[in-house]
Amino acid sequence: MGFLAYVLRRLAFLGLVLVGVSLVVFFLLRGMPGVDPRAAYIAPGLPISPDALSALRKELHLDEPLPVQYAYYVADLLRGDWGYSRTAAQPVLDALLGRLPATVELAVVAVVLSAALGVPAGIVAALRKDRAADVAVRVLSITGISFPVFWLGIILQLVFFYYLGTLGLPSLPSRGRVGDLVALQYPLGAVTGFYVVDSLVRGNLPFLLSALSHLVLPSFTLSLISLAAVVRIMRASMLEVLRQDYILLARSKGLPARVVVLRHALRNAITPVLTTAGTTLGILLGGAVVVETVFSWPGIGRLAAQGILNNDSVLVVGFTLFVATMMVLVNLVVDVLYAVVDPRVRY
Amino acid sequence: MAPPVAERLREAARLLRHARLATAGFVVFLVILATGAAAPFLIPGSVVRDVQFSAKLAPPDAIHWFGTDDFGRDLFSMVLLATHLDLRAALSVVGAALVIGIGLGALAGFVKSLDEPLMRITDVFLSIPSLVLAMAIASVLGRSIENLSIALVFVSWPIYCRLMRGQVLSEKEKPYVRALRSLGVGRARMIVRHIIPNTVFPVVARAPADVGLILITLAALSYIGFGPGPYVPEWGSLVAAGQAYIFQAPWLVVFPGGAIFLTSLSLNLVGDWARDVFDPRLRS
Repeated sequence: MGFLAYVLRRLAFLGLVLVGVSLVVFFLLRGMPGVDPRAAYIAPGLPISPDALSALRKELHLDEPLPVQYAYYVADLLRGDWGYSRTAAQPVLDALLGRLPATVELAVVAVVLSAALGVPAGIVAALRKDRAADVAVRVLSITGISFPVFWLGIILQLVFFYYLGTLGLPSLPSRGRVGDLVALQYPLGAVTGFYVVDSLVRGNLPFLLSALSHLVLPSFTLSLISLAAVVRIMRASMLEVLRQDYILLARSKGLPARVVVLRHALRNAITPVLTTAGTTLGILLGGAVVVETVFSWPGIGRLAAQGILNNDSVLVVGFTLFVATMMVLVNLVVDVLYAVVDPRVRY
Repeated sequence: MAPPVAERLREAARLLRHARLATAGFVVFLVILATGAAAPFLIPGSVVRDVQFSAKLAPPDAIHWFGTDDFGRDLFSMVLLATHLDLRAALSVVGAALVIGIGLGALAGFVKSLDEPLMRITDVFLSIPSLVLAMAIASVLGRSIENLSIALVFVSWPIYCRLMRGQVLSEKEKPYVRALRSLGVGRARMIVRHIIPNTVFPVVARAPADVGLILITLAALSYIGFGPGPYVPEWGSLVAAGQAYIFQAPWLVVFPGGAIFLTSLSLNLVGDWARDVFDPRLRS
């Protein structure tokens, strides 16, 4: 089977997954037993006229059979009409896209952190299997996944913002993406919405430093969510590769251990870490809801959490669809890249 | 033929003696479980309504071991009562998801016509991050711990279904299954009496770690806004309530969060060991 056929098959599969996701989302909004679909569109506790209710009924096509409603719903989604969010006071898709750069910036730094810490830790654990270093890595990663991240985030704020601050030491900011004063004194004309990129492009050094310092605590907290998974996958995959014949050959040629591990083994062992990137991203976007709430980070996760408090299901369900779509797209890119790098997967 | 159940359990017990960390985790979890189970009998429910604003935010001392909260209530009692609620919810969620997942997974592996549709359904569920999907379901159902638990069952069963199906697919090719079939053993009896007991261990081995994960997820969702309100003690909402006083009274956050951490750590220590013992790929 050729490369193109492989890509088309993956596209078809991921397309089917998206159809499935849209069905789940549609069912949540319109088909839940005992839930009036109109409730999601009305602010609770406010009076509403019968005229407005019947207008809403017509607008949502509630008099049509469910399959017809679904067709209308998907047509709206494809046109970019994901409904109106009361929480953001703007259309759902606009609200999500506008806050996306903040979340992506946070997630990218978290991914880099968990790879930078997790890959070496996994390699060391594999090389020292069942010895002190392996056990230490294992215990640390078990401890890491046991932390409720919201709690850890608050404790980090307490230590690195409050305690360091009261001791008169340099402390880390605990809320938001950039200092208020810095934002006023050195305004940044938005280019991409990624503060680190924008301030580099504009040469705005104070803004860059403030943005970086605001990233430290939230991105570290978020990275802990995926760190243990990276370590575990890296360790298992490294152990697998080290057992293979070509590693034995490389060793018996007399190559130094460092070269065997880093040049020969790592290249093959790292692929499982890369292929799980889509799943990892999904876990991080879920974690972002919690971490962004703790650190008042103005991204899509915090918006979704505010939507929950407002009973704004249109927004919360839209957020779910948005995250699932992002995961599917990332998985597609990963699959295609993987097929480019490793011809074996096409067969 | 696979070794009988009793033999596997003996082997597990032998391995447990060699795993000190897992044993420690197991003992700690049993203590927490017993405490949580006994909490409603030890602590009068009136503690929750015992609001005394004059005594609020008192630091830990000999009478109030964890201090008092922003309503002047004894935080130690609140955390213990929350232990009961959170553990019961997490154990029920994982129990229900296991039963559904194992049942549907065994069916998918055994009945060809059900395999494809069930697997496509799990594809869809597994393509949405579980915390995000649980959020959406619970938000539509309405904010409450019960609805949150239902949502978590919805997002947890597919992984068990997948694992179980894989187990059953390889198990049903084994000679003893063919032998039993030729003896005239029916399909239902085959699945319930023979296939499931022989394949369920690697699937159930995930359960301890998953209870830990569900505890954290439940508390996290409760923290961001699905909490039951100030008169029902729950770990995540205790942390959320305490966050407003974090610099003034850090114990309001430290103790409830510490309880979540300790419980999930103990479960993960057991889970890590269970995965090693029952994962067929790691055994030689």
